[in-house]
Amino acid sequence: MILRILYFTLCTIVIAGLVHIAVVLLIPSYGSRDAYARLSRDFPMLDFKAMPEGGSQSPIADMDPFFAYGVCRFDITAEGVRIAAPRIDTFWSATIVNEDGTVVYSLNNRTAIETRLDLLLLSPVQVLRLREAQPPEIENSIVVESDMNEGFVVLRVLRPNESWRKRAREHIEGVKCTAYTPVAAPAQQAPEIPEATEAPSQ
Amino acid sequence: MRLIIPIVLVLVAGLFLGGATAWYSIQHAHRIGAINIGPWTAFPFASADQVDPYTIARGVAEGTVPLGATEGLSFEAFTDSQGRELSLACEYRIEGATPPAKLWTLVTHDSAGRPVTPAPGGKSAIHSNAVVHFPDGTFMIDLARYPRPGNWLAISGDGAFRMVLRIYDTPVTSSAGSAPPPMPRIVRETCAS
Repeated sequence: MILRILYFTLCTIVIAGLVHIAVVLLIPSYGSRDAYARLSRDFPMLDFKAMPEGGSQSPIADMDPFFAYGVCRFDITAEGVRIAAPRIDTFWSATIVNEDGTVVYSLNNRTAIETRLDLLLLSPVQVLRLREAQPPEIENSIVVESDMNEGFVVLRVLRPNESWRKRAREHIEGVKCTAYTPVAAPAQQAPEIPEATEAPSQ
Repeated sequence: MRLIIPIVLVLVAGLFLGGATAWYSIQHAHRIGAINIGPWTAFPFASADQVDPYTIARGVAEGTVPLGATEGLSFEAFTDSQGRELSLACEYRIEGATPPAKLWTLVTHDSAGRPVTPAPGGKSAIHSNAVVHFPDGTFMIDLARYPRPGNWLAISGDGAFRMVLRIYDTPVTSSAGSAPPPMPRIVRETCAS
């Protein structure tokens, strides 16, 4: 009898362990309260929008009241995405987050080129195409390579006091989030290409 | 038939135990992969590749978006420096220094997660540019119901609350683990009975 009880206790522990591991690992795929699931309801793809403020209405649970937030959802499976903002002289930071809620890349105004947000988020294949095409954008855009599919970018703009509220909002409304396919620069770059391809073949 | 009852029991108990322990570990994920400095807790790796599954699950369950390593680090405190739960019935003094940063913000939330209602004439959140610092870079902030000279964070209401100190653009996120960065102390003063 004691052996029997021991046996069933052991079975219970093994099942509990399996359930524990399964629950922890499956929450990212099946959770419905996470930021991405909530964003998917209110934010269309490739549309940079200011985040509604305050309370439980907000799709992101831990917002800093001193910051204005803007969000854009995207899917880079087929095409890359370009996120470009005008210049603003307050502190800002941006994060690229994948579906599971893991940060893929982040930057702030100090680490950006000329303190301006200009990001190209591409899949590895698209990065190869970009290298081939050498479009003018690569001069002043930060190129981020990632094997993610769906995700979103969160831009946080500091508004230290009430007088900044309107400016931060206008800044967020000016951000563009568009699908991006590298296109070679026309005209003057065209003659250079044959030269480059001839070199290796002797 | 005699075997079915134990099997069902084992399954039900296993499911319950597994679910309960998973839920508990996710809620208390700050024991795993977090740094604790005094009463402050942060997840420096919530955004890196080596995130542990508990921290990911916690972020998903709570609907939060972590600050990226280049953005900053978010610290939370539920207790004072002596380990007593933060209560809106008490007055507190926050003193000391933060890790080097371009900017930090300090926000108070009540137990329901809403920002604490500020007492008349004040605010329940503050940022570093609005804080008067001592010449050596340290600072002192009073959390109280009534106006205080110096830096005053106006709290009101009752019940438990928590503080969130977000540090933006800090080298701590790239050097975490080498030495514990300085964090301010939370000292409890008088409590209304």
